[in-house]
Amino acid sequence: MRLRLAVLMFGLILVGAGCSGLQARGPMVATIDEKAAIADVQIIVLDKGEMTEEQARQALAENAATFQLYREAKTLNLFAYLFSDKTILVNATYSQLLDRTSILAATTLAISPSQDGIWVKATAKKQARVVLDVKAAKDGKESAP
Amino acid sequence: MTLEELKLKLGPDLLPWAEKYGPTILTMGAADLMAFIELALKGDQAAAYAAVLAKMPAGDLLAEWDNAHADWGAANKANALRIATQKEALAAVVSILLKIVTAALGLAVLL
Repeated sequence: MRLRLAVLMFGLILVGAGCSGLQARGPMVATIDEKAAIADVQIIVLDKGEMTEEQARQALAENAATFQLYREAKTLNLFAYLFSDKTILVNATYSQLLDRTSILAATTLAISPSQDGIWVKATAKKQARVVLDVKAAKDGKESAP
Repeated sequence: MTLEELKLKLGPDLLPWAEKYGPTILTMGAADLMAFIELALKGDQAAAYAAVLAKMPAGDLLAEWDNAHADWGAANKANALRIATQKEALAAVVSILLKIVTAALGLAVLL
């Protein structure tokens, strides 16, 4: 009995150790990595001043869709994560951050048609940093400044 | 009401929030404010937040992305620290178990 308890405790420690507050499974892992890779390129292109206004507007639309995808895929429930179509397991902090970011991206996209190219490009860069934040969360790493 | 007048009515812990969201809230009409209160009291945080964002000037909305990035950064820092602590705790447990196992195998002298 004691041995079983010890094995159980050790197993729980193993399961809990090193787990991020935001975890992904299946294709969502690759999706988060791919979106972050695109965001990396976007930041470089924006810094060089080589992104057109049209491309920046497209980025806002794609980012809004990405954050909406993350929001719909997330769950706080381990069983839903393991046995349903939910592919992102989060703690309460990350759940709120994904909700907030998705709402912010949707609102940003909604007002973007009335904004000029400078605003759109500045917003695209700030959004790209948050796309990278999501990957950092999944990887259990600190965000880039 | 001005932002300064609003800040005088709030505690010091809310002043940074007043700086961020006060200007927008002060531009909201009575109907919008009532709608926000209703949503917040109903527990529909997402809709309540969206209601404030919808009234935010474009410049403030841009700054809100900085706020979001800062909050993600704080969460990720805490997350990374927690993971590191967990790994250290696991390493300590494994180290103790390794000593016991090697002792049981008569290899303690090698450690």
